[in-house]
Amino acid sequence: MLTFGFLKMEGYDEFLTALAEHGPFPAGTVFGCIISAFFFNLASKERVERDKINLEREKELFKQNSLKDERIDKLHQKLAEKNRKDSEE
Amino acid sequence: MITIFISVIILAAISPSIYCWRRQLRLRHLAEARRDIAKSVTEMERLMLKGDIQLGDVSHDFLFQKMRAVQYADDYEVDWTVLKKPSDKARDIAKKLEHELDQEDCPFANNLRQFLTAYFKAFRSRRPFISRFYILYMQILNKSLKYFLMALLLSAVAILALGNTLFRSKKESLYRKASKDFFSQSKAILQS
Repeated sequence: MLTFGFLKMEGYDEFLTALAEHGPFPAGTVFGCIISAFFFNLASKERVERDKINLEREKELFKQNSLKDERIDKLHQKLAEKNRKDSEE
Repeated sequence: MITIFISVIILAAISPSIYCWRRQLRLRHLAEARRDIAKSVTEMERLMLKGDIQLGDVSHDFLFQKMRAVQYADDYEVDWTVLKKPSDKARDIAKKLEHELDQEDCPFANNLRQFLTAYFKAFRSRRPFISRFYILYMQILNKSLKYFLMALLLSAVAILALGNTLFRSKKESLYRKASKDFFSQSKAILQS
């Protein structure tokens, strides 16, 4: 049994011997599958992160639109006040 | 022969996954850069609402328009024609912008910095290979290529040192073992 401090990997030796019995091709395939699964998992995590970031960007765009609307409202208010003053005069 | 066979199979099996991971990483960096660009544009909008940036300023008439155009762009380009003489209009705009940035409490200085870094990050993630050449080109123009060469040399030294530590010679490992034994024995003597 292989041990790394607290971690005990049971069945590790059996797994290796079983692989070695069948030769290098199945062993290579199994290790390759394990490593590729690791990298595909990493890729899926990155994709999830990207989706979150894209949502944040969308929120920023909505915020921009609201700020712009506020700015236009302010301008309209000023214009209305100016027109009222002009009409009074 | 067997080890080579196994390693070839493993490499063949994992190369698509590594490519997929690197691609997703690059796309995430691009998304981050685009988010930062959107953030800086929002900040500019806020400054305009507050009245810190006004009509007639270069930051309002030129910079903000450019930033907003970049926000909705899909591709990012950099200026390779640095040695070319700029037009009078461009020089005038640059001078005005410099004047605005030199003022105390410039409201959009940090914002502009964030935007430019995000833009370059987007360019790097969009065109990873061309960006390396651009960095080298700029280093040659700035006469700072020596730093790149120094970094290359240092990294080579670091790799050699790492290799030396990881794959020690048999003689050395025997020496380490002997020294370990010596220390353990001396410890036991001291404890007793």
